[in-house]
Amino acid sequence: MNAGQLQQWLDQLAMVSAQRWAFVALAVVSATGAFTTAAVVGGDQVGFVLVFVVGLAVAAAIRPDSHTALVLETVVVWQWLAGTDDVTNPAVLVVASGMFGFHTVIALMAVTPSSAVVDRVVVWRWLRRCGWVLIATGAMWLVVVVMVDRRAPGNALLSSLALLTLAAFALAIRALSAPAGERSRP
Amino acid sequence: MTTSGRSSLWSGREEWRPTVAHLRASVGAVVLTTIALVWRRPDLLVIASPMAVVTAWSLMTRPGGAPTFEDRLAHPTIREGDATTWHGDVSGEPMLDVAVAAVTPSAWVETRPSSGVATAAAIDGTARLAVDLRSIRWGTRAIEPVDVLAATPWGAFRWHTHTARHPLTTLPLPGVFDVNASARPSDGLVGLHRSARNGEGNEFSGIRPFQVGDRMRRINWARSARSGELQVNATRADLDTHIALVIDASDDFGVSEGIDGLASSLDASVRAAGAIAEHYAPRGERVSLRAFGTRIAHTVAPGSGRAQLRRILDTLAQVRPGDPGRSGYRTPASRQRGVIGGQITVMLSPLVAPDALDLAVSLGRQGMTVIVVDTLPAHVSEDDDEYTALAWRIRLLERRREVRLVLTAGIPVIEWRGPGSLDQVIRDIARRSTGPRMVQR
Repeated sequence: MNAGQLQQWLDQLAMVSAQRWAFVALAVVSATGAFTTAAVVGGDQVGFVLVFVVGLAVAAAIRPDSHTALVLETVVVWQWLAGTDDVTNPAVLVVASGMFGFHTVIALMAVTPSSAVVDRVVVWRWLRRCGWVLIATGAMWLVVVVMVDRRAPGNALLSSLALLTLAAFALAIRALSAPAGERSRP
Repeated sequence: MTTSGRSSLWSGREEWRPTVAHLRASVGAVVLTTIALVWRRPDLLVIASPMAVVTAWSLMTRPGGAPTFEDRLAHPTIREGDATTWHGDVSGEPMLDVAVAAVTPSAWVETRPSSGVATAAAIDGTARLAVDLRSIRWGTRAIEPVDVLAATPWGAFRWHTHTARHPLTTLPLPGVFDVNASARPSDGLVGLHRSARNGEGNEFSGIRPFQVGDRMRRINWARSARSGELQVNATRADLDTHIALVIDASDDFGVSEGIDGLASSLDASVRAAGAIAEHYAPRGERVSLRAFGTRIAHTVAPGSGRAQLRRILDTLAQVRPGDPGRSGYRTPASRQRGVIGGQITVMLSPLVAPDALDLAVSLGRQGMTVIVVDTLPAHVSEDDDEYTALAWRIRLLERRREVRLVLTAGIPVIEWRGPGSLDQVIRDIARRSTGPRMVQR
């Protein structure tokens, strides 16, 4: 990297908005929080892999339109899958929320340039949606807990059906809360 | 922290395309659900549920046709330091969620937001974007194409376009200028100044016998009744002043920081010319303009009134400094001699190149009244490079000698100081005009 490129890079860094830095921080915290929770629940040492996850999170935040975020999510899911056998562990909610938060922040960052300050109305709209999704996630966990407690046979299939039902429920809520113009289309 | 800079902000054509985020959510939902079913891990369904909901939500709000996009600049012509607004409306797609516009940075144009990026939430399928643009230096320039992006909920689908360039003309903001001294009358027959000759005007000069051609309303009936023959009120002719503005645009010396900072020599020339024109033209004086040293000749024929002022400011906004290295492309000063013929010729020049002084002396020898306004900024000799600074000091010493020679030739050279800059000079000229003059032909 020559001096000109370094200067250009520094100029771009200086143009990054404070809100963008907050988004980056949120993305990194969400991802590392999800991974750390999964690792702690599994009783594993997180040192080196955590550094790798943080690096992936930062890379995904720098280039939100890349597939780096998918790699990070794969690592987190693998950590959970390999380290945890308790399917009703409430920590799964933290992992799911962390991954979802990471995904949402990266998606929002991908539609705006780094110097942008996203309008407050847009941020609130996305937060409201996130609230609905998190409620659906919590409901899904309750379904899983209830089915595991009752030792219902074939619970994976039923859970999938419950997942689809919850998705439909969330969409119905979304459709009812959407403006008239949006409801006019399927 | 995206990504690259503003030039390659978003890729893609003008059609809705699924994003990486949508792909990520879809793949995550499908793969996690499949693993949950195969390995009998219902906890993975909990992790998959946000992705599944987001994917389903995104598919439900999948856009149909391409949206309609319209943009405009509120005011294509503004003054220095004034602002206008770029408006962009994305509409025609009910599933539209958010729209983003990124104005490419342009020289001498400040934006608000300072990043030049505006975001807007769509309401009833319409997103209204607005970016304020403040032009800080005179001139004609284009607002570079604006990148516009529209996205559906969760950023699942996006549509991208960019606008055409919008021309923006920034008229120079004339400095504060006023002059109390009155110039000597010219040969015209309209204007604000009293002529030495009698004619159609308002200023009473005496009573004389009626002559063929006199207007009836000029008859002084009381005097006529007493004298027994028709007498008329004689008036002095009302005359105007023709101010010929001549701008030396051969070069632009010094640093230009726009309306809020340091002014270069051309900034000072243009703003001073605008100030003089704004003072005289609306009052009914005739003002003309000519710029030399530019690649394109900029000329405004003599005229008066607000329309003339606008013509002059428009022309000033188009002045570009010539290329000193390629004099063949410039309008030489020598060609101006036949077309500059104001009652008062005001030449605005940094007086670094000899052309302007040659022209001033030449016009003076033809009997024209010439005032040279020195517009070289004081900061021009300040330079980090000691050799450049030394070269400037040497050139300024030479320039002082050249200016002294011009003064010896009877041509006043003054520094531009805003209000009253020309007062003393114009008084001197008016006084001098009453005496005999020597003209070299």
